[in-house]
Amino acid sequence: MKTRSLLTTSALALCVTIGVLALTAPAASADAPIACAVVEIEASTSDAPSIAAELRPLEKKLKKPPFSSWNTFKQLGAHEVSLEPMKASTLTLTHGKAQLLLREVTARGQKKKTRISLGISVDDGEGKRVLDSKVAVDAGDYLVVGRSLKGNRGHLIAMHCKP
Amino acid sequence: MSNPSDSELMMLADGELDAAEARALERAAGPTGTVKVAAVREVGELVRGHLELAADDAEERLSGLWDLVERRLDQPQPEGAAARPARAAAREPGVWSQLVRWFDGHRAHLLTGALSAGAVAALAIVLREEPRVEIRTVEVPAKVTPGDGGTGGSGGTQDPVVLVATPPEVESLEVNGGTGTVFTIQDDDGGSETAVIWVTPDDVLEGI
Repeated sequence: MKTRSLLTTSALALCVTIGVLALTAPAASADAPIACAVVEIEASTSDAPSIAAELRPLEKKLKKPPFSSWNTFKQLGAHEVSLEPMKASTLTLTHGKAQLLLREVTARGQKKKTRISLGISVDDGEGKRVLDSKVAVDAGDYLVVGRSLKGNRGHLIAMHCKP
Repeated sequence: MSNPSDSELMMLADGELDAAEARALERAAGPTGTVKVAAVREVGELVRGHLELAADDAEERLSGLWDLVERRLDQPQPEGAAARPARAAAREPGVWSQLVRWFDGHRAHLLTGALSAGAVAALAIVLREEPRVEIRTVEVPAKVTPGDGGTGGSGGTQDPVVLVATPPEVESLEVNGGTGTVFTIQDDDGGSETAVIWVTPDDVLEGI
């Protein structure tokens, strides 16, 4: 009887310890917020090609097709957003609004980049929902969401996130 | 037949001989032997009577003892608190003393639990994966991924740790009042890709 009671106590302590460790382990960083940098860009074609200095990190991408059909890129705004899992963040843009939702952060060991799954919604300037999408990208990789505007212009929302 | 011995007479008195032997022994024993046999039988009766009386006296006590043993066997093991004498319960101890008593009663359990928890915690710490924060601090130097668009570091003297890139995935896309296009732009280093989701509204003729 006493031995059985001791074994029961030990098993209970084991379960509690494992549960506590599982809940408090630093590896469980899926709940940690991630930082996202969002840049709003307007693309157009002009006689004086230019790329704003703030857009240097994106310059090589903007010079590749299909963005190369424009030659002028102007930064309309920049946002630093901290995204928490399953909590939507709304960004007010020059041309409408964007809503970001961090759906999942998956660490994949030391040889693969952390995977970030996002929900993205974009409304135009009139409040009409233009796009609703779910995307998974590597941490640090750029994601560009854009739409064509009247007058042969483009509206780009470029973002990248890191844990 | 010669005069029988005392042991033969005792066997006769105890009825351990068959009928023919008994008759032959009685004839040979004569009056003296007959008196001896009668005396032995009388003593035997007295001893048996005494023992039966003693057994009768002890029967009541023995039956109570067996009842007690059976009850003890049938009962579950009494708990420490329940087994305490009634006078202890009558004293109405305080909460603190009850707590202390409980810990006293479960000291072995607590020690075992604490040791188990410590052993598991030690194993978990030893076997636990490296924290993910190390993954976050590893970045590809700029000289390895030129024009990476912010993912590059400041180039060092150490060999770069190149992380394997996975192409972006568009899990779902819903476009209202337009056409959606998904494509990727390969970075110059060939490692990572930039996902592009482009919407061409129906009322805008020019697309990319």
